[in-house]
Amino acid sequence: MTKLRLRHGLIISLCLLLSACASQPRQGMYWGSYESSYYELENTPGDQARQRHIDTLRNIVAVSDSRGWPPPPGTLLELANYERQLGNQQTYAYYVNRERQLYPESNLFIRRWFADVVPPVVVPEPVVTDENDKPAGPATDQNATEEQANDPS
Amino acid sequence: MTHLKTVVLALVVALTLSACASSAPPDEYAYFNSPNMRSVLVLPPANRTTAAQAPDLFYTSLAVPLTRAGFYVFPSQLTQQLLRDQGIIDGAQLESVDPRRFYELFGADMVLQTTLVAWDTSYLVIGGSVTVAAQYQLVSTHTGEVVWQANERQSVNTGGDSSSLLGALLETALNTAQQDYIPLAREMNRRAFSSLPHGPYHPRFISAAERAEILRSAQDDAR
Repeated sequence: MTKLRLRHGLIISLCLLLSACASQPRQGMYWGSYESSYYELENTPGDQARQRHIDTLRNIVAVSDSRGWPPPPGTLLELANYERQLGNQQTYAYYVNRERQLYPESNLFIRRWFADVVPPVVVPEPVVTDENDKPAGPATDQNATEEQANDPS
Repeated sequence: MTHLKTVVLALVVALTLSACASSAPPDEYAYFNSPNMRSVLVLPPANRTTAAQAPDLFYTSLAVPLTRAGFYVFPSQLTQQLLRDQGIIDGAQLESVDPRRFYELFGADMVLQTTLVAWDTSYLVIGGSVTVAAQYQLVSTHTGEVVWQANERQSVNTGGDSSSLLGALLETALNTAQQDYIPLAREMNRRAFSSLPHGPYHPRFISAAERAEILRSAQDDAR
């Protein structure tokens, strides 16, 4: 009986120790058939290849969202550019701002090449003098962010 | 017997836990842990082959493996178009450009420069092969230094294995004609980027602070 308890104790300890090793869950990245549709666009350019590439980008965003993963770097901007060409201005701005929020590295690129898209409004929190209160700092305007976050589709 | 079991179990636990321990990457890649090594702009490849379309096709295979290594990669098709609009179609045109310009124009921390050195089919009647080869280097736009480089080559034998001469000849011709370069290029990229340190979006990325902590612990253990 003591041996059995000892064995169970060891197994439970081992499980607990190993669970501590799993520091962060691996976040997935879904590229779908991006490489092949982009290749097709370069190899046999035309309306059909272009449409296939747009469909691929939309699929990448949809599948990533359904899995709770961020769309891979750059895909939202690439899709945004197509949406602009198709006249879908609201969707275009939405995707540009999503990339801006997901990947801060894109900010300078967006400011330069997507200058017509207004970023979500950020307003500073009022300064509080009480030391026990939260320190003052920038905060996102909830209304503005929620408006941007709503998928226009 | 019970004692032996306990020893074996203790060994298993020790070995399993040792696999969890983070280790610092080699010193030569320490700069990849710094906060300004996050994003990569893929430049059009320089072409040293006779295949005119090869650089554009090769370019389509570069972004995905770089993002899987954990880096933010600027949208390939869009940046390619922006550069084309400026009349830049071959990476060789950019060799004299100061890398800092790419930070100013795109906000990129690094640029990936590639040179395509082989995109060939060699056809030897009853034997043949398709080969792709490239040189890769990442250059910091903050310092102008080459921070990583690789040379890779990938070939596939397209020779026929028919027992008759005519059969082998036809088989080789058919295999060679049907062989697509792009799967070879993708495999070549995968091998090249496997030597690249993890970028900030990789789950095993180690920040500068974490690296310092690991080194400090290792030094403490050594004492």
